[in-house]
Amino acid sequence: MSRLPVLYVDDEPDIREVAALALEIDPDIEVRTASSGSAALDILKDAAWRPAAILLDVMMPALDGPGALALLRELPAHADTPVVFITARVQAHEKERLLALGAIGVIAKPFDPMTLAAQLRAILGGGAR
Amino acid sequence: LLDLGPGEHRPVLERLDVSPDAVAGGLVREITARRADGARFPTDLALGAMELPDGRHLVAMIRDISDRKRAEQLKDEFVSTVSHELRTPLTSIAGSLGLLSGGAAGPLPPKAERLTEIAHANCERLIRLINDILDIQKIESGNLRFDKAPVSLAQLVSRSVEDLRGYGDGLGVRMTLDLRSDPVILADSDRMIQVITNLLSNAIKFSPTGETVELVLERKGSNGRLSIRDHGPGVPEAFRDQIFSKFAQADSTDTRQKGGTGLGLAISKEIVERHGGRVSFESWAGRGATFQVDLPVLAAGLQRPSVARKGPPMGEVA
Repeated sequence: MSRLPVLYVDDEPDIREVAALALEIDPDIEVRTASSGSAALDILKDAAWRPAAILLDVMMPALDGPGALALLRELPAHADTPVVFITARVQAHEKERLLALGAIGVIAKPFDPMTLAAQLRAILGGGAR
Repeated sequence: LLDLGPGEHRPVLERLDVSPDAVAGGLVREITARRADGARFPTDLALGAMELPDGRHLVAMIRDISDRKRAEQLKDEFVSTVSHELRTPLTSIAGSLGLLSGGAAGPLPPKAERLTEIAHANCERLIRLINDILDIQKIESGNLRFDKAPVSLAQLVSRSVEDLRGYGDGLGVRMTLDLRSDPVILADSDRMIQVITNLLSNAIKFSPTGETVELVLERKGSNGRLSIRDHGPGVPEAFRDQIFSKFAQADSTDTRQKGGTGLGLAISKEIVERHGGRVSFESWAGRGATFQVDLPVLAAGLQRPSVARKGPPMGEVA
């Protein structure tokens, strides 16, 4: 499988660590994490490292997931980078709302750590949700 | 308290949009009332009929329920906040345990592996309980919403069977699926899978090892009917009336033995009824139970089922 740099953004340090370990079960996924929407934007503004996918927690203090998505779309390098929201179990209409913001998928929390990488690959591969 | 004599009923009944017959047995409605200063407030209106020598009187009792409504709203907010706050630490715990028992950190000594499995299974049970409590809270606050589309009921059933295959294997219970018809229904796929999975996991849970759970999907008049039959102990006579109530379990030891939340059937019934259908059951003491879900089939012209997606159950957004 192809190499896949992934940025995981979540304000909860323990969840960041678990998610990074879970994603790295796939040896071709390389994970960097950010603790807030603005920390994520700082990483994305730096051209040295370009993620092929961004996993964004929805509920974060200050700049939340949807807010961060809107701002990162203004960066020319990331106008089209696939973004997947991670959120506590949401109802169908909330999922539709998140997809309408320009994400290509929504993954529910708590996620299954053993299949998180495969889920991400499936979302990226399928193009839709 | 209002007493409406014969001839005074009509304006009240018309306003409430109820027929005179409907009042005969008594009727309770929540309505918004207005005070003299124009402020609106919620009330409970109880209407009853009383036959007197001069004809039928309607007796109306109106009660201000502002305090109760405020308390309900506080309870809803409390439940939803607590549940969301519980999820955050649970995500880390379930994730860590899942990685450990999945072997992501290398092989564990047998005893450590068993202990991790126990912790992981119970963590998932806690997550299910929180999900169920949130669903009940959505039902009670009127916030349970559905994203309905035409879908093949057979596909939803097959997928639920696949999702529970591992659970059945673990308990030594087999499943057989007899698809006699493929009704297309208008449903929220995720929610309908939740219902089927709930009924099916109950059937597996109460089956003795070595037994089979039989599923039949067929057409019954204008409905599609899914029957799930188990050969467990059956539903105790005394419990049959409350089986669809919240936190109802046949006896308190069941919670510990079977690991349920007592909310699943209450949630399933609500979901099915909100799809225009019905859940019912038959049971024979000592010889098992059959749970049936009847759902209205879509008219022929609308039969374009969407494809139910296959994915890992935990990661799906419900």
